[in-house]
Amino acid sequence: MATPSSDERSILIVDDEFIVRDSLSKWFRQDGYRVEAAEDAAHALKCMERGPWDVILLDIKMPGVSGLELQKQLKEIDGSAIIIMITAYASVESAVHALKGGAFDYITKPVDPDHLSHVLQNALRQKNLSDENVRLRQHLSSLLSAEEPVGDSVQMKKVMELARTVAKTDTTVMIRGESGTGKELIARTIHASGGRRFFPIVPVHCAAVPESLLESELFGHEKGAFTGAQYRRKGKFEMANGGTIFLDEVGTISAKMQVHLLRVLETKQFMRVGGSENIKSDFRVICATNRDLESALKEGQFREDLYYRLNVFSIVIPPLRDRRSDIPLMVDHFITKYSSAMSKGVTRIAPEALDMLVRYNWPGNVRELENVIERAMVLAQPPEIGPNDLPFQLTQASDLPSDDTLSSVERRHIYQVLLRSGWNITRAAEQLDIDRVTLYNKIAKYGFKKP
Amino acid sequence: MPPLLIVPIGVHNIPASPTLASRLQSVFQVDVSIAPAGMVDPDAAFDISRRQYDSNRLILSLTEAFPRLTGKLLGITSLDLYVPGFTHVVGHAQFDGRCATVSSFRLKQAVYGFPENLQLVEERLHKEAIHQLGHAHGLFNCESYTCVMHPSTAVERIDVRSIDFCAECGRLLKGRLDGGSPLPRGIA
Repeated sequence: MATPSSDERSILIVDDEFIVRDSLSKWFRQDGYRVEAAEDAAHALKCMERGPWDVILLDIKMPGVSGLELQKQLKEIDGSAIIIMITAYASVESAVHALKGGAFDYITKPVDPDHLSHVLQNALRQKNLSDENVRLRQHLSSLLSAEEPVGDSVQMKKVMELARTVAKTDTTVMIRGESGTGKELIARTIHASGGRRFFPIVPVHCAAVPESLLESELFGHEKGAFTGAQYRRKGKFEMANGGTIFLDEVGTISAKMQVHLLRVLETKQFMRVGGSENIKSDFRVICATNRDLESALKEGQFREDLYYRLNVFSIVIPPLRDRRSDIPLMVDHFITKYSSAMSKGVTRIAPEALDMLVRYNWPGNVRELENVIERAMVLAQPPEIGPNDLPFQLTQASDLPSDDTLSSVERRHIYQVLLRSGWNITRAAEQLDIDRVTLYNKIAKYGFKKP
Repeated sequence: MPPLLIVPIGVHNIPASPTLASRLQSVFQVDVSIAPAGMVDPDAAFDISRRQYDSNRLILSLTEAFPRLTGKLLGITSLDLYVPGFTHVVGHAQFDGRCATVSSFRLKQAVYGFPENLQLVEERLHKEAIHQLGHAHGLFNCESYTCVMHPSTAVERIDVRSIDFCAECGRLLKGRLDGGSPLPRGIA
């Protein structure tokens, strides 16, 4: 049996007369369609499990469940299928009923081949437009909600350069970085800059999906594959056809799933859970992890073959504390974002508050920074965010580092004196009992900047 | 390669000409001969309520009339043909099979109220014969509108398409004639 591919057109014929089913099936097969035929409603509903069908030709007059009744059930199962009604008993009434029920068109038996050919061309044009519309809407919404990574530091410029370079290829990318550094944002940037940008990027948060459901989430399932599987469902790999699948927290998947994943990545083919049909999908893989995969490899928790399959091109996003010069830019970006979302006239941040943000350790990275700004935007009085709008832990631990080494204590102390004196160097030097040149040297050594 | 046999069915005002035989011979690279008239009786295929001839039954009669012939059979007629479910057909074939039929009935200009043009009708008949024999050799309909395998349900479209195969269909036919398996369009 030929492997179903996304561009193969398909037709389901539902008619109680064998000879009509036979003639129409042969007619469409000569056109290269995938064709199945059903003699009644029960068989038609069974055929729906092997769908989706682009077009359904449905006889109105059938014993048992009528075509009009069946039309409603078929539409419930697959609202996007184009239904064309056929009947030997042409009447205005049944035609109106069929069209009101959502049928695309109506043809009479015996079928004029020329008419059938026109109706089918129109139906497929309509189907292609509807499918394209759905795809474009999804893409538009992902573009509207997509954000560009913000950063002007040398490290981020390097990351962006790598992302743009690899975007032009179909190479598998592994994005490494601490939690909250913006790995998904980089994945979206790679997808949006590559040749697959007009197809979807499908994110899967491997750690967020329970192990028992991950298989069905990734590969889809057939109706009745397990308790609760009422309908056939497409998996993420199938949904990513033509586009990109983003496997977040890939380091957390179980040994069993690692085997499945390896096979899919190698063959680009898989079976739905409970299915027997090989599904082909053309996707690019971008994965991300904050786990030390090399240690997991040594401990035998992560398969070596999968590691090498995924780790073809690696991009490491540095933590926010290692690229503090990006913080003011990010703060501006988040203020603009939330002032527009909240319709609040807060447009800037006070220098002391910004200084606190720059000096904070940011264990939660960019995600934590965004949350802090969002919270501050709620509390702040227009037009600016002040130090009191920041969370307690930031105002208390505004200087770095937090260990007890002599240089850390000296650094913290000098900085607090500078703040208290309003960066008056003479006064600060007096308080510290050192000369101004020594203070300037200390400021340069610790990289302090006047707010 | 077993020979191809053209079988005239019923009274035929467009004779199964040597021109058709030589065209088919050059396209399908096979010896082509024309059977004497009257070998297949169309009456068994006549549907009195529709006043048309069932092409499926004609094909059955063709295979029964030449049981030992291993080559393709092309039934050619001026009778009005149909297959159940359809109002009419101008040609019909067993896909990747042995038999095909073509009818000049709806290819005539007079059917559409125009002065008759026998040369045009003969050209249409030849195109349709090659198209149906293409199906009998396992070729699918083609999207290229100038290819002889382009589906044509109306005479205007038959006139638009050429009598030749497009490059892709030509390649597939050659593969079939050389003994290869068909590579279905859109599935390969």
